[in-house]
Amino acid sequence: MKKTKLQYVLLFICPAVLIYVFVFLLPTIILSVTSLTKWNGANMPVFVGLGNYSGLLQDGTFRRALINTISMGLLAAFVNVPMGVALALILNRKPGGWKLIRSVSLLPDIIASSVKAVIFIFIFNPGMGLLNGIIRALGFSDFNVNWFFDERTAFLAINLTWIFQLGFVVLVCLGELLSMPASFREAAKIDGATDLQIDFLINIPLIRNIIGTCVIVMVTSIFKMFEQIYLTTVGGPGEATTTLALLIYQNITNNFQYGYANAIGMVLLFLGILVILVVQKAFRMNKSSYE
Amino acid sequence: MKKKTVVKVVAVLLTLCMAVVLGACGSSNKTQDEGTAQQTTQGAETSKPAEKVKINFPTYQVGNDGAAKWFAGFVERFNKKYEGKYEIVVEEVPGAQAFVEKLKMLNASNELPAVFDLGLDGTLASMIIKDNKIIDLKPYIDADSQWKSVLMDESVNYNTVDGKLVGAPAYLDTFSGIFYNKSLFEKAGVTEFPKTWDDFFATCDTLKKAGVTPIALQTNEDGWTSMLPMTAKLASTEEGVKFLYERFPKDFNKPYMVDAAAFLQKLFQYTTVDAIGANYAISANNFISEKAAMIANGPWMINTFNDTKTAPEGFAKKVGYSLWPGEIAHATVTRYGYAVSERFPKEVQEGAIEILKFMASPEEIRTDCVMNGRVAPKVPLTDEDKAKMDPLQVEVYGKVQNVKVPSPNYYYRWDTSVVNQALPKELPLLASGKITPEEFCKRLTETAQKFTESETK
Repeated sequence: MKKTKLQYVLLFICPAVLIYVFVFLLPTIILSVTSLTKWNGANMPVFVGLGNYSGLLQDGTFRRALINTISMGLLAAFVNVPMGVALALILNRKPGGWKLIRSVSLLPDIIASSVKAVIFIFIFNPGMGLLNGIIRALGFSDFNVNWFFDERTAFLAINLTWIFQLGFVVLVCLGELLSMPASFREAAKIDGATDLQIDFLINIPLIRNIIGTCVIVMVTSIFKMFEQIYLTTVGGPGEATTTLALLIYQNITNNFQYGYANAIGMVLLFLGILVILVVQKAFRMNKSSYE
Repeated sequence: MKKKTVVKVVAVLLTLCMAVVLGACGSSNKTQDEGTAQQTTQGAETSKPAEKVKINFPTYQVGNDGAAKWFAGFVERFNKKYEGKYEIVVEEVPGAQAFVEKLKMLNASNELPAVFDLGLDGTLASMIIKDNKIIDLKPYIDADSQWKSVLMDESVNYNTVDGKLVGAPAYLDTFSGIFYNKSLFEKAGVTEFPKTWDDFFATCDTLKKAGVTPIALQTNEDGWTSMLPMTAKLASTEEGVKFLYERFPKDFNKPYMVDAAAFLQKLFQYTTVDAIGANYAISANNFISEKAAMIANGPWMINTFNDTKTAPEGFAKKVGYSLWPGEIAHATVTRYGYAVSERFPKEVQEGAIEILKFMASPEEIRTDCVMNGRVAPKVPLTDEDKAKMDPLQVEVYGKVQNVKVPSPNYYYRWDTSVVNQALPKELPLLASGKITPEEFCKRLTETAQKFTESETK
């Protein structure tokens, strides 16, 4: 590379690198260091080694939050993303009104999480809620489930607040599908392939990298989900909807356990890294889709 | 100029811009806070003593808060009286919870305001006290006989920590009892509020039979409208009152606590269908919209009954007030009062103390009582004052004179983790019968002890 070109490269990556260092890398280092301390946020942290981590192992609330967080991640990977991909594949066939459906599918993504939480509070309200109202109208007049606050349904209800949020996956996958050369589809058609065969044997393998990206983005964003839980169930009833993100907040604001909360933050960080590595491997994301 | 030189110049300029932007980002809070600090310490930083000292006063008594009207008037009167010397600059933080969150952040960054309500969050208060971030108010109160004369002894004791007065002791009390809808009571044929706990449930049965939902409850947030009845029941035994007097109890596995939890579990059979999961707003709305006949709360709620934006016209006339059976009411006197931050110069601290002193002047106390339905034992209201009060406030004022058991309030006494974390999680389970009262108490204990364990880690 010529020296001038190298200077340009450095010049343009400089802002991104600086932002990354100051906004992400340094806080991550601080997070990892303070996770080894007892710290109430106001005084000087006191080094406790792996004390916070051994505390996590004995903490039943943490274990439940970890299970809930992983379960939600799995729902994102195996339910949310596949639904989004399926919708993208259907829209790729350009049925009537496909542009409208594409736009409508984006709506949940542009509504603020706090607003969504309020909407779902009203949908799941046991008295005047829409869902119970519909079920009662269908003839089950005694039906009365408190969706958010019944231990049996709370986790389901929380997941229903985001599981149909398909806009991002649809947009990205459809964009990739529409940019694929039409000759692939035409050649397959000539060879007698059905639409379903084209989707499963040509389209999906060719958008493999994009699907992998969607899985990483959706799973990690679900790991971080906070508002919809905090504004509805606050992690309850019991620990039914407690997640790691919520537990971090509660340990900071209610217990002033910054060190302990940062240890949970580190677990969440490693969980995110693990997801990225596994998905990259599973989707062979370091190879071109055409290889 | 050569191309290479241009590139170098642009590179240097961009890097400088980046550094400035990042620097500005990093110090944006600081600049803002220093601005406030400069503003608040104006008098201290100039050598002219005549210059006005501005005192930043964050408060949740704004917007829809029941005491908002009184507080706005108080600020206006203070600023008028001390014109040219001191000025309160109100920082509006709507909602008590938001106020606590803000205080936590300010404490973490060592930027506590000049004067603030210390007692809303007991756990945070104990941290601030432990770290010596507030001044001792004792010398100032001892030097002012008028101020000292109105203070309530119980509050002086509570606010005294290691011989220092960490918060301004209370001179008035706010008693939470129970509001009831007289029309709905009449509809069910109930003529008076029950005097015993057995009668209380008998009344609930009568109301229920008449198709009236007896009481508005909640499980979300701090469980306020549910925890008041529960702790009123707790206060009906001597041991229960003693337990409520404990600061940050760590063991809830007590027979009287289990009994109180069982009482609450039973009470949930007499509430609205949406009580499990309801927050305060929903609970209050159920009472105001006449979906429930009773709600536990304090006299600040009266302002909402009179506000046509929140209640139907004439609703306040339908409402009556009662103490709990056994003449029990929840008092606010045993909590930390307003504190003055030690990080400010003397001029600002003195200004903050003038605010507290002004608040404790007999005229201001009477205004507070008249507008907010509070009771000041050492500053009785005149007939003229009572004439200015809302009829329901007069009723409250009359009834709270008969309080036999002024029970401390769980909200100020229990760990934040218990109030804000365990209650919203465990109350739905207790209410729906998924856990027993014993299990409920065990879970509260576990949460309370978790904080202690971590402190000692």
